[in-house]
Amino acid sequence: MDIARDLLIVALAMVTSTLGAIGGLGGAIILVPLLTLGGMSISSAAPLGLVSVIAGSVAAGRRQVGDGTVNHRFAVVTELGATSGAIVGVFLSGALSERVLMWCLAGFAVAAAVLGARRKGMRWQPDASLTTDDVGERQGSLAGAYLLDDGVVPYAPSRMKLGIGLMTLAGVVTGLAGVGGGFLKTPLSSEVMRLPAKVAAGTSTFTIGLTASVALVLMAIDGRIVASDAALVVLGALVGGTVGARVQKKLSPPVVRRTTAFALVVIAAVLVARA
Amino acid sequence: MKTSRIDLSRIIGVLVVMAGVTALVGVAVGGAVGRGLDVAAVTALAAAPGVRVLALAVAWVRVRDYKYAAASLALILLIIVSVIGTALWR
Repeated sequence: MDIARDLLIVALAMVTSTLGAIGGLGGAIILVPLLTLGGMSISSAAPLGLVSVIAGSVAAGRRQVGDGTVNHRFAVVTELGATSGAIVGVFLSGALSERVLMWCLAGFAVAAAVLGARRKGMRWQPDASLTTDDVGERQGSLAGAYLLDDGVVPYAPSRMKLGIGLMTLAGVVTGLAGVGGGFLKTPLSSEVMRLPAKVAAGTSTFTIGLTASVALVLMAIDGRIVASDAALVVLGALVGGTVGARVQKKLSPPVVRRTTAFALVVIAAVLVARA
Repeated sequence: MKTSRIDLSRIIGVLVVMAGVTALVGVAVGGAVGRGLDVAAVTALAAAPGVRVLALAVAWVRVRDYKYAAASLALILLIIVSVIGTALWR
């Protein structure tokens, strides 16, 4: 057993999952290149990236569900579009060169970062008439309320048709490129469908866990998962996801947006390097 | 404002602790037993998001929120079809 190598895998999974849980971006897109820099093959690193996304998503979910920053109805509706798109993308894989795809994704990540970072203040404000009993989703609709410091913030997403259309398109692109797409889902939810930044991040953290679990099943069928390394990633990502959700709770929505924007720029750089 | 959280937060918390302990013991023990524990931890976590969607569908049926219950069942069906389709296609 190489203890230094094992500790490095745990540490990398923890750091990337923390960042991923804050912005709802997953973190595999950063973890996988880091693992390959350490000498691991891409075919071994890719499943570990998925494991980190799933473990981080589940760990962050505990706190995010309690704070009302996951809107499951919104997640299910938009994921129907994203998953349908991803299926189309997988079957079309090879239709576009990977280089072109990576540049497109990097361009989108930078554009999303600029949009998120430029916006000032909070779109949705706390409502003094609401109590913690009001935190959660509103039955029969996509509206809800989340806990922010001592206040409760109500919200209602809009432009759903446009948003689901773009989510489907994002699904096609991510299916084509073989990436998770958390970095597309969070900004689309926040900037197009106008979810609060924290709810967009929390909801995206849930949906990327779902997407990653499907991809992991396919990799398991191919026998590509090294269980001992996956367990190390589980340990790091469970801690990282928990820490990320705690940190996110303490940050103000504008800071979450700027942190997400920073992570998007890092992701764009990774994508350009891959291209 | 009605919610359908069905103590999801607590259920997820228990799963996180169990998966973490299982993975930790698996890494510490090593060998065939350790590998079995590693696989169990990863499998439990990988199943969690799908089970969560299924649990939400059940919760939404209970509160007569049929539109979103149908959407979540459609999502599960779509995922199953995509996994089978992709596995066969490759």
